[in-house]
Amino acid sequence: MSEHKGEQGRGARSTKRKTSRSVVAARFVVCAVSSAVLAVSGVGWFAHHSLTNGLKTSDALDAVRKRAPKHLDNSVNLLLIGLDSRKDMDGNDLPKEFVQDELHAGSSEIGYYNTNTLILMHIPADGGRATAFSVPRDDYVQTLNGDGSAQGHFKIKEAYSIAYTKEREKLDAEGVKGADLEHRSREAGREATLATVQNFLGVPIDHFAEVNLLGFYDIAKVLQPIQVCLNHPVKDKYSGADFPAGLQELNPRQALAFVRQRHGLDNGDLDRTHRQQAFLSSVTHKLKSQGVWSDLGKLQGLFNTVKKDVVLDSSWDVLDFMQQVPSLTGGKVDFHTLPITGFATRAGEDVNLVDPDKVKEIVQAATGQAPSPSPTPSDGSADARSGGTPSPSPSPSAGQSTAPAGDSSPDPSPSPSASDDNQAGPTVKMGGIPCVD
Amino acid sequence: MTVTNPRVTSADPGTIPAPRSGGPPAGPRGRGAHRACKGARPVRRALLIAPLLPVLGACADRAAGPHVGWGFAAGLVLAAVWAASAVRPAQLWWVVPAPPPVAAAVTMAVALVTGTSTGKGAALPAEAVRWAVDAFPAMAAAEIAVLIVVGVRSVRSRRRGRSGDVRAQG
Repeated sequence: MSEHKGEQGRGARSTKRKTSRSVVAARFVVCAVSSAVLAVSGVGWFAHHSLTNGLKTSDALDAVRKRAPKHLDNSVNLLLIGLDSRKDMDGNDLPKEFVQDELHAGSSEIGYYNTNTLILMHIPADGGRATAFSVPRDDYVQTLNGDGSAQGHFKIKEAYSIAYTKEREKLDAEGVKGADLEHRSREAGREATLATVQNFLGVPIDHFAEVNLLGFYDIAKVLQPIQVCLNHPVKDKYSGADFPAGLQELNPRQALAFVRQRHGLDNGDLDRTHRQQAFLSSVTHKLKSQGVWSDLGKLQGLFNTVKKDVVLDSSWDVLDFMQQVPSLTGGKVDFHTLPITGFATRAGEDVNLVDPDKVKEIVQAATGQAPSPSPTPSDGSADARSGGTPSPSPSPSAGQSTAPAGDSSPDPSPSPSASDDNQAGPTVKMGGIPCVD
Repeated sequence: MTVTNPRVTSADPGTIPAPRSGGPPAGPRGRGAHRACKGARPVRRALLIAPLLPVLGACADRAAGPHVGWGFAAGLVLAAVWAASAVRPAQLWWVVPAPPPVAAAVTMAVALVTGTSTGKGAALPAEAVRWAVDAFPAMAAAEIAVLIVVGVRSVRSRRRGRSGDVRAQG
């Protein structure tokens, strides 16, 4: 009996010991998991903050949002602004040799504050194909100030410089000087560009990024060599472009010449727009193929350049953008150039004539802001062509290859709402190295 | 000299009270056990309700914006302090490491339920970074709050122990 009691006691002690061991083990596991979660989250948080701290941001969108059309879904519209300024962010001239030899851009006095590149990227809410619209810089439109007041009718690229100049004169009279004068004047320019483009396209702009010539050069420097593909050899003394036909790799100086060349191209500015689209496609292809988005070191290098030379809107969450990046880098973007109805001379300047209603219809349909229009032969661009006005739209079959070089994936179906019939120029499909003129 | 019996509060129900001088020892089978049973209800309540606070905070944040923020952080810190104050000392082993996994789980769940994250595909790495960035400040604050509560409880308990020893010797 006593032996039995003794066995029971030993059993209870052994169970107790067993239980306490398992509890200790469970505690250890829970603490380890907790520490790991805390450490990983901390590293992610720190990496995010070190990447994004120091980004140059602008509140220009705040002034424009009040008058923005309502979003019908959770899609995002980004406006990329390429500024033709040869100055740094504080308004100082860039070194003369650098502007002449590397940028091949004359002197710091040339270019002023015209927005030579305006590309609206629409990223759908469902993560499907993104659509990008290039707005030809010489489109003759009603330009607006940031407060919505009209500047008049000018080339769309001039909205920035008109507002910049007006604000600069006003601030100068108030005694504002130096970098502050430059920053505040540029902010007025940004607001004017955003207001004008938003009004012209009829869709809300959610975010924007502004880059100048130096910024473009620096980004190309980080990403070099950049592969591009040309249908024909080109040589142009103005931009410094001197390239053979076919697939080739560009350094930053050549990359700038590639996207700036317009002389010697059949369709001038519109061919330049296609160059810019092809360049963006090549860059995003490279970012993806080199794994830049998932490599913190490479991403840090890119962000250091972005911090120096690029202005982003203050509400742009870089992490949200990263979540949308797969649709941009996965060959899921179609580039289009918005149509013009012809050419004309206004106030001694060569301009593109446009049909604002038609442009709105196309963009709104492609971005889910309105029902998709059915393209008819009587649309603005067709009328202009039949009326004898020179058509800016080259035939896609006229040696204009848009097949990405080195991209073996099947060509996806075109965007249903923005066919090439009503676009100026062929669509550039993203997801490889598109060949352009 | 009158010596008052140290009270067992709901903030520290598991602390075994020091014996009243001259009275019976207040062991697990005595008055302490009875009080511990009485204290089990607040412990259960704390452990059941506390995890809801960060969820409520996160829902409020999502109603106001695209990501979790101050509401979630406040809810998590409150929950952590409440749970760390209510449980018995032995249960602190489970409460102290709780904030990071709870914060991560709530952030992830809210993002997935509200559709700001898909939880799959090529965007998953970026989504995971977003969860970490959103959750880390709250989990760090809650963890610090819990450790402060544990520290305070430890100091109080040690002080009680010392005063009990003095009374026992006296």
